[in-house]
Amino acid sequence: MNNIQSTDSEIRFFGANPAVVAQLDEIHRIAAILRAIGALLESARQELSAAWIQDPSQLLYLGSIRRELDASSQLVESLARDCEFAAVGYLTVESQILGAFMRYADSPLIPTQARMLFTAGLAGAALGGLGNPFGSLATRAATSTLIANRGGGDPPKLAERVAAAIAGTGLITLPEAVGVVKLSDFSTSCPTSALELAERQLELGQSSLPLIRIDTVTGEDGRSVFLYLPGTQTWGVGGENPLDMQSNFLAMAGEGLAASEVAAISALRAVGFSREDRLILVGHSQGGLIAKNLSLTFESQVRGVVTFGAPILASQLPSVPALVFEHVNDPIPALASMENKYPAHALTISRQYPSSSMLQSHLMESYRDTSKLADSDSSSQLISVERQIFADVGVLNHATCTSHLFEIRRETNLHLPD
Amino acid sequence: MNLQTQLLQALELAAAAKPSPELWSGPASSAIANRLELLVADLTALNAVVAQFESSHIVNGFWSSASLLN
Repeated sequence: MNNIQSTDSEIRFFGANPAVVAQLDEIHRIAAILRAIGALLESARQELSAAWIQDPSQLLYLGSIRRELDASSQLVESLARDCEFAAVGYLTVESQILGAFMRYADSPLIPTQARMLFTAGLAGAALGGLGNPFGSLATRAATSTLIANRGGGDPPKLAERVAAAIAGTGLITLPEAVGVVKLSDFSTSCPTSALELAERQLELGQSSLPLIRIDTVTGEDGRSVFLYLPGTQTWGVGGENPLDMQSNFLAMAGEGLAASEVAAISALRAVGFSREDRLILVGHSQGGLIAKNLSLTFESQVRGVVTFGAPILASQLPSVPALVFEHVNDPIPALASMENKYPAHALTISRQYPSSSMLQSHLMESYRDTSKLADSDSSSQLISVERQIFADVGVLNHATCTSHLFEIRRETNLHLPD
Repeated sequence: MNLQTQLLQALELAAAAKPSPELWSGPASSAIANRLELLVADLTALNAVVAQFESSHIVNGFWSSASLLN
């Protein structure tokens, strides 16, 4: 099926532009200064009122100063509010995760044990906010308690908080146990474009089995490893197939928790992945989320990340060349945030997919079409980022690579309450 | 802290709030930076008015007990 019918203007490219960057800490710094200015102006306002009482003859003069002061205070308030919007819109993932959990946990289709799991995760996620000046006093207090309980140190990561909350329920044991079985090794051509990665990703996802693919290319300057991670295959929770909602939930919570992520690391071990190897991560949907997590785990070795319809922000990725494909009418990328256009190292390829079906817009087949459309745009930034990814790992000098196909299974099922 | 000191501090802070281009740049950052410049201009003007007000009262010798001069 080929839905590519439109002109180049259908696709929009964001990011990979050093002139457009956003760091949450910088926005928080400005917001903190604005709050301090607001406090000073409020104090000045009180001084003026006191002066007015002491010398009513200066009413007109003090009144005009007061009006100026009020105007400045309103400007400060509005600036602080805009910083808050910017922080949430750009980068605050925790609030988005919280929203996603709440929507999911409210669904009558979700089994009771899943609700318990999500509720625990919600509690863990809500323990955020210590480093966030917009966090509520309650969430900051809760995080302070968690830090105090573990004897101080850095604020706990979201993953730690969620893991602690989930472990407290006794529903599952983290990290989850998984089995990885190699199905086949075969020789194939080296991938040299995002479109070729999309085609391999599509092929992987078409299997009814939960599979992970790894391509390895060995050159004189070392080995490059391409890891392909599929999307969700089942809406169940805690079954044998790790490509399920439980993995989605845990992967959103942080690194190293989801069974599908643990399985990916096992598969890497099975091909002898070492500290000297270069890693390129490719993933669709949940696979993109896992790719994001692994890019943080193996940050020093990652040379590129390519995701299709994944619930991630480009800004969550480390500073490596990245391609983030997302359809405007695909609800899954919307779980992460509004738009992904900010880091200088990552290019977001956005398109309104020509289908009224949200499901169709999320399929890997549809993203392969978009990759093809983007690939045909010879003037795009895509070529520049592709060059960075593929030239850096040396695959352009090699005709073939070795592919390894693994089946993955969860060994520990959800412990249902009696 | 008197009124003038508070406004001077607010002015210094507003000048320091400008987004660092290496850390935050783009349309939203530019909009914030432009409005911060307006804030700096407003606070500068307000400081000048208050300074004039306070000095005139010192010179004229009345209202010396007002909290503006505390």
